[in-house]
This record gives sequence, C-alpha cells and structure tokens, in this order.
Amino acid sequence: MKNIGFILLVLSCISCNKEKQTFSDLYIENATGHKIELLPYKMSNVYLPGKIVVVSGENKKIDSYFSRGISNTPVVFPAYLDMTDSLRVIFDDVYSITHYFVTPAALARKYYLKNSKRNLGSLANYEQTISADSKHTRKWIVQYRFTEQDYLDAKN
Amino acid sequence: MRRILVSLAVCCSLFFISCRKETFHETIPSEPPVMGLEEGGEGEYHEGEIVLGERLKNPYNVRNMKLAYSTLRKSGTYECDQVEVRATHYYVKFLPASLDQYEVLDSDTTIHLSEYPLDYSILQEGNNYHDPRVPDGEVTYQYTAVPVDYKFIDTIKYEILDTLYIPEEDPKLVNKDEDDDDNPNWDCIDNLLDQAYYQTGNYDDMMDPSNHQKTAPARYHPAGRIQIFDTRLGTNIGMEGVRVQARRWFTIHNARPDVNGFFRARGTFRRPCNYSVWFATPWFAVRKHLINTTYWINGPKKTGDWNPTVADGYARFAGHIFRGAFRYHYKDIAGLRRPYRPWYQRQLYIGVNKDKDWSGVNWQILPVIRIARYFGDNQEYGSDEIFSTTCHETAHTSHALLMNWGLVQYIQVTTQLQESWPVAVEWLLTHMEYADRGIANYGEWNYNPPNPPQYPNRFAYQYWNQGISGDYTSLFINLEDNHNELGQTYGFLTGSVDDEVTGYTLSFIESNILKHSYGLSSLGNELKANKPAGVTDAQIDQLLSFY
Repeated sequence: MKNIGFILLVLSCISCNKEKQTFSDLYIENATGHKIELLPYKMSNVYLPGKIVVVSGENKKIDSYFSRGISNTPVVFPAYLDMTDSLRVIFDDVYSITHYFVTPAALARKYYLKNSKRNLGSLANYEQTISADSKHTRKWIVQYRFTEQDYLDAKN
Repeated sequence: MRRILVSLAVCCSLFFISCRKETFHETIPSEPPVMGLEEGGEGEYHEGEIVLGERLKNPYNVRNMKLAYSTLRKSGTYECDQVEVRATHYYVKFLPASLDQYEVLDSDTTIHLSEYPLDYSILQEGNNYHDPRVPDGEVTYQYTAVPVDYKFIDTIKYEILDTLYIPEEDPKLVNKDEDDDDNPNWDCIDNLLDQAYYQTGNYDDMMDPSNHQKTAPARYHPAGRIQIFDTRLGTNIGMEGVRVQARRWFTIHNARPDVNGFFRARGTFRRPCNYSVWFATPWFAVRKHLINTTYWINGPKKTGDWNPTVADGYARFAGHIFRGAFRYHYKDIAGLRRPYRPWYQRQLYIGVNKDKDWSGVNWQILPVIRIARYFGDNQEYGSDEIFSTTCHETAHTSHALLMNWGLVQYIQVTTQLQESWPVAVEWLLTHMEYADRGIANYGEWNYNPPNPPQYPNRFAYQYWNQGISGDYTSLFINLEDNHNELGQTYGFLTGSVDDEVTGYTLSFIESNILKHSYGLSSLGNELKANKPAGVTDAQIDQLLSFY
C-alpha cells in the first residue's frame, strides 16, 4: 500500500505540467548628452507607433515580451521593427543618421547598413543579459546603448 | 510488485479512459431573450467578507405558513382552496467533510448551495463567508433548500434546520417548466407570503410594508446584462455562460447569459431578489483557492434588471478563465474533442491571485488547473493571455484523455509534443474567440497590432526557432496553417522553418494522429499515413527536420 502511494506521488509529479516561460524586457539607453528621437519608416512613410524619444541619461524601457518555455535567446518585437525598412535616429532635432534594415537604391547622407555593428535592426548589437533564472522562468534584459560616438557619427 | 504496478496502471488509466457518455448530463438551459431591459438597473456587485446580522424568524416554516393560511381564511376574503400548506422542502445545512464531498454537492445541478445561512440578515454584503466554527482550510457549511423527496447521500453529513412550505415552489400551484406569468394562483401565493412575512416580522419582504393587504407590484423575470471588460478588445463583452442566480429566501431562479451578456430567468418574483453570479457549469468550476468553494460575486437585492460590468479586479481575471473554459467545453472548437473528464468529474480552475513564475499548471492526475494572474512585478496578464493560457492547460487534459491508457501513455509522449499540441490549440481557440468578437485576423501570421498579443498569438508563432524553445514549438500550427515563414521577418527574428505542409486540421490530427504519436518519428509516420491531398512525404520530412 505504501508503494502504491509512492508510485501515485511519482506519477503525479511526472504528469504535472507547470508551464515554463521567458520574459524579455527591451531598453534603449541614452548615454549621450543629447536628446535622441527614433523615427521608423515604412516605404518612405513615418511609422508613428514606433516613434521613441529618449532624453539624455535616460534608460527607457520600451516594452516587455512573454513567451512560453525557457528561451536561449530573448524574444522581442519592438514596434520600430514592425515591418519597417529603416529607422532615422535624430540627435537634438538637428543631426540624424539612418539605420537601414532594407538597403535602398538611394542612401541617406549618414547611415548604417544592416550588417553594421551599430544598426538597431540587429539583435546582436544589443546587450543581452539574463537577469533572473529559475526552474520555470527566465528573464532577459535586452539593451541598446547610444554613446557619444553615435552622436558624432551623425554630426560629422 | 509487478502486480501492484499493473493494477496501478489500470487504476490510473481509468481516470482518463473515455468511459463517459458523450452527451451532457445536464444541458445549459436555453433562456428566451431579454425583452425590455429596465433602464437604470443597478450594476454594482460586492466582494469581500459577508457579515451576518441577527437570525430572522423563518416565514416559510410549515407552522408559520399554516398559521398564515388559517388567518387569511378567517378573514373571509382569501378564497384559495387550492393552497395546501404542507411540507414541500427541508432547509438543510450540509457539513462536507472534504473538498470531494463539497464537489459532489456542488456538482448536483438540482440544488444550489450557499456558504452563508439563508435565514439571517446581512450587515455587510460580500462574496465570502466562512463559518467561524469551521477551521480554516476546511470547507465551510453549505446551506440550501431541498425537496422533501431529495435523496441525501449517506456519507455526507447534514442537518435539517427547518421544514418548509414554499408556495412559489409548490407544483400544485406553479409550473416551473413554463413561463408562468399569467398563473391565476399568484395572488393567492403572494397574499399568503405577505401574511407569513408579517407574522414573522419580515416587513421589508412584504409587497407593501405599510399596508400588508394586497398592493401588488408587477411580477418580473430576473433579467439583465452582465458584461466583462476585455483588455485586448478595449471594450466590454458579454459574460456568456456564467450562472446568474436570483434568490428570495429559499426560491432560486437561474439564467445563463448569451454571448452578448443578456440573461432572463424563466421564473418570476414580485419582490426584490438577491442577484449573484456563479462561475461554474456542470463541467467545470472556477475557484479562488483549491480549498475553497465555487467563485461567485454578490449582486444587489432589487426588483427589475441587474446590469453589472466586471471592469477589473479578481472577478475580471476569474471571468476570463471562465471564458476560456467555456469556449473549450461548450462552444465551437472546430471539431476538437471536448475535454470532459470521466464520470462527470468537473474540471476545477484555480485562479491564483499572486505573482508566480509560471502562467499555468495542470495537475493532470487530479482535475485541477491553476492559472496565474500576475507575472513579474505584479503585472497582470491581459484578458486574451488568460483566455489563451486556460485553453492551453485544458488541452493538456484533453490530450491525456485521448490516449488509450490515459496518463500512463501520456507521460511517454515527448515534452515537445506534450507542449506543442496545446500551443496550437490555444492559438486556434483564441483566434476563434477573438475573431467572433470582431478581430478577424487575430492570431494570424500577420497579426501585430500596436498593442500586440503575446505568445503564441502574435505572428501565429511563425518566428519560432530552436533557440527560442525546443518544447513549445510551432509544429502543429505549421501543419494546419497555409503560410511558409521561411525568410519572413518578424522583428529581430527571421522565419527559419521551411513549411510547405498545409491541409491538416487540428481536429483531424487529434482524431487520427495524436493518440498514436509519442515523438517526432511516430508523428512523422502517422502524418504520412494520413496525408491530405497535395502533401508529400518529403514535405513532411522537411518540416519535421526543423524540430
């Protein structure tokens, strides 16, 4: 009888489904001394839902994402990448540089192509850290940091 | 030891072998549509602890009713020979010794339990009462009225608190199976009641407290509209399927709202009734804790319509769990099997009102599913996420029930198939629900609104790759859908699965393939043996290679 109880306990443990999940938080950090505006474009038109303004010194949380299972990679879908083809980064409302997700025929004066190490369209250019990890939950922090060099790239 | 294991396997499988009848053991009553909502119906409801006042004198006990009848007859104006005062009901207190016993009682659709006594005044309205004589962690006493021929269950303790004559329930006077609005007996019944209320000091229950003679307000059907706020839709929707209860003393009229939330009980009252909403059906119930009774919210005591909106709070969370369960158990599910547990055992959904590191838990061997309300920093899941998770967890139960030897076979299925199947089911059912509610492309591969849904209803999970999760995959979604995600961009991610397979439906997979599939190899064999036209073995192999 004791064995049956033990076996039932084992069976209940095996069969109990506790859903694992992964949370990913996306941040844009402005480590420059300038205001930054991110303006995405779809087919040459501004895609306003993806517009973001980050003031100097701000580490802005853009969104949180949830997916099932323990993920070995963060799962994030920023609105500025919602089928957009480029993103214009504007410093102090004056100097801008374009991050291209799709290379057009004619390029802006200042730009990063998709394979650039500064392009916002590539997850590899974001810092990705696991901030919490348990049996059932993993939390990712995904962060892109604007530096003074980014400002200079746009200005010069 | 081997004999014990075999016996155990048989016992466990009996939990899940489909030996039940396919039909309902009770159908949801089809209520007629509401006619003429009263404008300005109060919409409030109460949550929190109920505080009882004094015990009232019971106007319905047989002695009091006999006195009322003889008093009226002596007056010479009460010519109601058809009234025969006798014992028709017992006022009963059940003392369930366990949750199982409570579940047996609550599953009985012929009675409706109350966790607080029905013959007490209420000082503070609420939706939670636990008798102080019952230890915490045990089920509190349950009160109800039962017909005198009710068959008590020997193993469940009870006390008969009083013997009642309920003229509104007397089959010699009232036909409960019909709309009885024009019943000529109502005046006799109401005058008798007024006299009974008067004799016991229940003046507020009289039709006209200042004059206990015959002023007769119009009869009304308890009716109204119950809505719930949906965060995905950003609007209120009907709370379809919950049990709306309208009670006066021991008489209860029930109704279940339609998809738009409208309800109307068949029975009628003349006097104010106490409205409440119970989150249960014959096949499932929602609870706040495992050691707890069915979750309910308490409405006002009033005449006319009741039109509450569950805008936020725990009730809203419980309401969306209920929606998910209701969809799966009662509504169109595109031919999938109903997740009915054997022996009419109800599925219990526990709405966990805490921040948890999981979104849902299915205990499988027990009929318990837990759904979490919050994730990280007490952020609340959205309405569609709660709905979707509820469907996901229920699909686990359905999958286990499908297997020939129930749980014993189910645990042999790979985690990938165990989890990928419910992923597809929640995707399908959540799409159906929200398409019905106005978002036609909800959950489709291109569904990515400004306030997007989370997994797996965003982009139809077409962004999946092995790095995201080896267990929670897009496998079964890809068997059904007609979209090849290879090379498509989804935010940072690019579709990596070359999906040329289409034409399977989840219901077909469930009926013909799933129960014989334990991993990718056996699944592949079954898919090839049951191919829709136009699908080749090579395409199936190619698709499975990505998983």
